[in-house]
Order: sequence, then C-alpha cells, then structure tokens
Amino acid sequence: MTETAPVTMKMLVKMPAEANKGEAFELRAIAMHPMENGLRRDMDGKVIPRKILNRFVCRYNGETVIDCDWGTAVAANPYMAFQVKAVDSGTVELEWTDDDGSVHRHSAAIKVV
Amino acid sequence: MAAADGIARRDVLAGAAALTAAALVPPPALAQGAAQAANVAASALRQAFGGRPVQLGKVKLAVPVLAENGNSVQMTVGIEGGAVPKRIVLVAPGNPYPAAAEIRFGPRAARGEATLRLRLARSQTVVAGAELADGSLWAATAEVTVTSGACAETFE
Repeated sequence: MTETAPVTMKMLVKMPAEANKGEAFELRAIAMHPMENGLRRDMDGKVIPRKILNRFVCRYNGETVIDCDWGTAVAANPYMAFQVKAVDSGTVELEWTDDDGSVHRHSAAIKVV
Repeated sequence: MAAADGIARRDVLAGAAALTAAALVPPPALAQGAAQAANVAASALRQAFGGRPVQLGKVKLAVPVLAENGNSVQMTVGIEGGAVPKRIVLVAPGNPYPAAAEIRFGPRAARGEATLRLRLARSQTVVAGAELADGSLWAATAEVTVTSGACAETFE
C-alpha cells in the first residue's frame, strides 16, 4: 500500500515579523513530506514510486530569494534555512512543487523598519 | 626521510583504500588529500557544470564528520565572506542518485549560504560546487562517515 498525497501539506516556517532595513534575517522552513525516493519497496516487494518535492522557491515581494531544485537525496520533511535581505515591508512567499504537479504555498508578512 | 614516509603512506593508503575503515585512517598528507578532493569534486560536478574546470576553495561546506543516521544529515554550504553566488550545487557521489540539490540565489538573498538536510546512503565525500557572480567555478568537499546509511536494506 502506498501513501497517497495529502492535498494540503503541513509546513513550519520561522522568520521574524519585523526586520531592520538593509539587514539580513533568517528564514527557516520545514515541509512535512515523505520525499519518497523511488528506491524503497513496500511489504509486498513492490517499488514505492518516487514522489518528492522537486522544487522550492522563496520570493520576497515578487523577487527571488532562492530557487532550488531538489533531488531524491533531500531528506524527508525537507528543511531549508537561508538569509533574506530586508528591503521593504511586504510578503515573503514560499512555494514547494511536488512530483505530482501540486504546488504548496505559504506566505508571511514582514515589516521592515 | 619525510618524503619517504609520505610515499610509503601513499602506497599503503592506495592499496588499502577499499578495505580500510575511513574513520580509522589519520588525515592524509595535505597535498595528496587536496589532489584527491579535487578529483572527487571534478567528477561529481561534471554534470552540473558541463565539464568546465573547477577549483577548490572559496566554498564552505560544514558537514558533521560522523553521522549516526544517514536519513537526515544537516549541512551548511556557503561562500567565504558571505558573497552571493549565482548557484550552489550539492552532490552526494555515494548515493544512487548523486545530484542532491541546486540552489540558485536571487537578488533578495542576503548571503550565499543555506542549511539543509540530505540523505546519505553510505559514508562518502560530499561535494559542494558554486558558480560565482563572475562565472568562476569553485568547490569544497567534506568527508562524512555514516554509521547507518539511509535505506540500508535497498543499497547494501
């Protein structure tokens, strides 16, 4: 039996609500996803098909912070931490793309003072 | 005397490389280690960088020396001085699918640095390559000993 895709994906995102203009702030994000690498077998010996998040993008007011391609070597519940340049108040958007084509999004407001 | 020792150790290392537990071998002589690392990096990054020459340096790759469990090994990759590169590529040559991640940095990235967690199927030398803003290619390697690899039952 293979696990079916949850329509909504849980995610945990940590970033400050406020940052100083021109400074960097850290964003940490975990997506709850099994990252099935397509190499494992189930109890009946059948290969469990590959199903991973293959792309992760972070945008800040529409401009790219990072844009990642992920392979099967990325661990389950993929974690990513990186530094964002605080420029203007606005929205930080995160986007994960699943092998099945579904896109999971999260956005958070940032106030730049 | 010192040179003779160096050669003897090289021969021993080369001959026993396949059988020796990496954890028990003292760090190899600097020159040899660097040459080896350069080779590992070059072959690991051939696909990502289209075979263009890659130099060791400028890239920082912090990986635990010993990972108890290969299912999730946290590592931080970055550029010395925090410069923001065009992209950073992470390769795990000992995995069934070595291409682990490619991180492209955009105008809102404050530092060319990222932390993520990879699955490592076995003990191996993880390679990070970076294409800097000027187009030059740099790399770093880090040896990781994995006591229990990810999905051990699949890749004996």
